[in-house]
Amino acid sequence: MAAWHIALLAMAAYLVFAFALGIAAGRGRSHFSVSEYAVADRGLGLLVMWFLMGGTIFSAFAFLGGPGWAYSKGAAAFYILAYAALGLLPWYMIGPKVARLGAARNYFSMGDLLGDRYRSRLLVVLVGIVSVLAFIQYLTLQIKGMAYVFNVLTEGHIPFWVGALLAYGIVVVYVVTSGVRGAAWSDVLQAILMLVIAWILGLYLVQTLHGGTEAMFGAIIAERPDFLLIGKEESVMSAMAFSSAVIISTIGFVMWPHLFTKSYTTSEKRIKLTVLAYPVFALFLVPVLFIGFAAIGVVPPDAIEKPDQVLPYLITHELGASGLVYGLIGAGALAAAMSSSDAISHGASVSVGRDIILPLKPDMAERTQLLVMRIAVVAVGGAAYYLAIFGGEGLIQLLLGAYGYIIQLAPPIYGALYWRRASREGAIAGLLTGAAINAFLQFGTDARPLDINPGMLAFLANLVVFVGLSLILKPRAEQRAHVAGFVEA
Amino acid sequence: MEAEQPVRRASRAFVVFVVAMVAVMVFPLFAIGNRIEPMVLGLPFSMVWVVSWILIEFVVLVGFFLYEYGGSR
Repeated sequence: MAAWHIALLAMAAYLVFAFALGIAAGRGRSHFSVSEYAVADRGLGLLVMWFLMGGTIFSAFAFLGGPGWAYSKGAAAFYILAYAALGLLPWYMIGPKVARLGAARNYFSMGDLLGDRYRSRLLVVLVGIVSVLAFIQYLTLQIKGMAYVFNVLTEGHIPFWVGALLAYGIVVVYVVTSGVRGAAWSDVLQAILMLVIAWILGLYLVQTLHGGTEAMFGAIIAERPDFLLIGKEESVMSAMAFSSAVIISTIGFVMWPHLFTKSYTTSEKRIKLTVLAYPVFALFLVPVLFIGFAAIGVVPPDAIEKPDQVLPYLITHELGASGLVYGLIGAGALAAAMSSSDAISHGASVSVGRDIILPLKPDMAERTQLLVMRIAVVAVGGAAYYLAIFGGEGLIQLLLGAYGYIIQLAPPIYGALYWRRASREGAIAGLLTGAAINAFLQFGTDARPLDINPGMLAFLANLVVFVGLSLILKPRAEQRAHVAGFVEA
Repeated sequence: MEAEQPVRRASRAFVVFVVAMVAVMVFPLFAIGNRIEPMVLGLPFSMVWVVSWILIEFVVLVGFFLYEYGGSR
């Protein structure tokens, strides 16, 4: 049996296991309740909550993109640590408030909250559309990651499109059947698997390829002195690009609509404990970056098509021909990608059902709503699959592109929770402005004014429009009590 | 049932903390850590800077949590 046969078997065994666990999680629960599907009837434990949130960070982006960035961009990869460490911090403040409002007013999605606060169905639909655009890009990233893993670890025997279809197909099935519970329980398994593998691999590679961190970084510094710094002459990333990427992620991270959906399932204390655990997750990423640094001087730059393939390449070329090792690592990488894609698919389906379709057709029966959400899992997945196979973007570009959209939700959300003057008109106009500018900068032009992150520029325009319009318009006297209910919650 | 409501809240201080954490990770403050020497445990100082602030962040967060929930039974 060739090594890639064993690798394929091991990965297949893992997929079967993840699939069974995801399906089993939903057993004995109602398949026909929106509340169960979306928020697990508001009762998820702390451990599960941690991993559900952790899974979002330990995605294909971290597992494959992290080493890829460390390998090709050096210090720019520290952005990943900063992003993981800072991303959830604002949630300590917003999360409990959102959870209280959600429980008291029976929300399921982010759109529910915004629609209620601003009394606007149009805004809900817009928020739904912007979120789904972001979700699709983020999913594309994960699907690409899974496909790389399959493709490289089976030495090209499983074509890119089959690998993607196989791994993501399984995610779709258990999200459709088990809802949020399916996602949560498989995340616990996947996060643990991925963590263990990342650490063993990171430390092992540094030791065997270089004999320790000192020798490894010493060699890099001797070769390219500015590679491990930001914004120096030969650095890969400018100071402005680095700073704006960190800021956009800190504002954007907590604006993911599925975070809102999840927070309705939990309590203030649990939310704060979740935030507390996050810096630890960020530290767990350090060995992931070591993998990429260890590859410098070992993997010739022209040996791989994209930096994102550096980890699978190292595995097949530097770890000997043990099929079992391939398989185990393949399972870890698949775990990373799947644990994020299930959360994202689930979140996207709730957004489509609650925020786009329901406001347009408010008299839908509960069963029809669920059907719409389940169809949405497949439809959003299909769109992301299409982009993954035919789109040319790298994993990092996809991540930052997704954040460019997500961050546009920040002004209406912060406004809803903290600012009495925040107005419906301002929120809608700002959101449209921000989303349009972001789409233009991302797809319509290569210009990068001042090297600022495109999502950040779009966000600033959004903020100006939102604040400006809200200040110009007279506050509606009859809404004062309504608005106070949110600001004082 | 666990105690759900915090004994006291430190919301304003928390906002200051978030802003400070972001500030040390971006320029201009990041420039202080943006150097190779001194290397610690074989890591360039730029990486040590980021990792140390994450450690500090964790300790401060634990502090906030204990302050808010401490003393409730």
